[in-house]
Amino acid sequence: MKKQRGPAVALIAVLALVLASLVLDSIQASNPIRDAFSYVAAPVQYGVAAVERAASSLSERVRSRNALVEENRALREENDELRKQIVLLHEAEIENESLRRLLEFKQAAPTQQLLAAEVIGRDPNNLLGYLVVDRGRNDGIEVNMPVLAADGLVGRISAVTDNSATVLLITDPSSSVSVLVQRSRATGVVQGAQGHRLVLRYVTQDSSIERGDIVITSGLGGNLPTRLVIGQVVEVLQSEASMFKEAVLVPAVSAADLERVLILLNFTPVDVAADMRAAQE
Amino acid sequence: MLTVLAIAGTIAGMVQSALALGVRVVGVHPDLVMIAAVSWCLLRGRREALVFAAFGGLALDMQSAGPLGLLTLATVAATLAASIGEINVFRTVASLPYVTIVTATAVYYLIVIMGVRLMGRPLALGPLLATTVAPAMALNLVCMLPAYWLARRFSGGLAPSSADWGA
Repeated sequence: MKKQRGPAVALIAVLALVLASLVLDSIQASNPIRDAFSYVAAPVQYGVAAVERAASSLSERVRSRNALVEENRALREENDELRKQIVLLHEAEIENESLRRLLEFKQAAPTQQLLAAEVIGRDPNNLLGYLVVDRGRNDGIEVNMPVLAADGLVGRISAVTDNSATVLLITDPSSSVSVLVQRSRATGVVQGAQGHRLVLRYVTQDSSIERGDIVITSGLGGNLPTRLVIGQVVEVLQSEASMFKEAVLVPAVSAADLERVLILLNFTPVDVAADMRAAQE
Repeated sequence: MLTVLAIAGTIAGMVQSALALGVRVVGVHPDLVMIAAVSWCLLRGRREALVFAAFGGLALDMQSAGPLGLLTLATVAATLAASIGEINVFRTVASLPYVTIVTATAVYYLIVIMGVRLMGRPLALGPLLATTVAPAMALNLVCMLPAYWLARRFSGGLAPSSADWGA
């Protein structure tokens, strides 16, 4: 009999507790029965929650390992792609800057017919100062046409093929250009020297040259246009015994860094020697 | 083997020309064809190296504004100068590749200077030595370290070269 009464008593007790809890809920804010239950249940709930979290985390880890590997691979690919884009953007920025400067130069001289060309080669002989550009006879390039950059004169076309041309740099020892010193109007000849330097020669002793002077083309001889910047005086070599003054110039254009140049198409060099021969005949 | 060396020499010439556009140290670029030819000469003998040097030099000449054949002649002469190092009595000397490349560079530039002067181009020897020849010697010497190591790795797996008795 005792065995049969137990569950009924427990059921009644539970129902009584529920009832009492309901009554307490309805008549007052705090419910001591619920509080007491929470006090007992909370640690259990924490424990269960911790176990559940650990299990969930473990299963998540197992489940997501492949996803992580895949995600890692995708991120690496994305990273590589972004790096590539950064390099390309940087290149585009440099190219943009270079073209902008050439465009400004072109706009500043609207009468000059300039053709942009890319530097595609350099002479493999360390003793010769030549560049190869990607424009040739098919683009209207002819021998002796002046080659410029935004900062000044680069050189002259020395040989042409159908699709490329060789540029003799003004820094090559075989190059000489008639020039004048912008400030004092002193005239002379700039010759190339070893080590990508320029030397200003044949300036009379009474002419003034100072460190920092800008040297430009004079146009004398007719093989180059006037007022193209050649370089800047860095050292004046003066000797009382010499008939002429000399100066060392730093070129306005560093041929080592050149990527693009402009070729002046509408300038016809005058061959003074040929004209004189023709006049004599 | 000689065909492979001819192709390799031509490619090396093209590479040197391409490097000349971007790689310049103290105003000069390394003379890769000559460095490779000298390394090969020391490791495999004059016969194979001369084939490499001739084709490499020709590839350089095709891309140079100088007289056609000048760089071929200079590279071949430098390789011949390097072939002195082939003599067995010197072969064991560890510094041989480095002494040889300096000598070969001197020979190479001597020929190039003579050729350029024959073209009628003004060359001031003093500044030329200071700004071009001496830096080129130093740069070629530095480049010889990896080049010789690389050439030794390549040549290690090859069959012995045919005997060359200097005839």
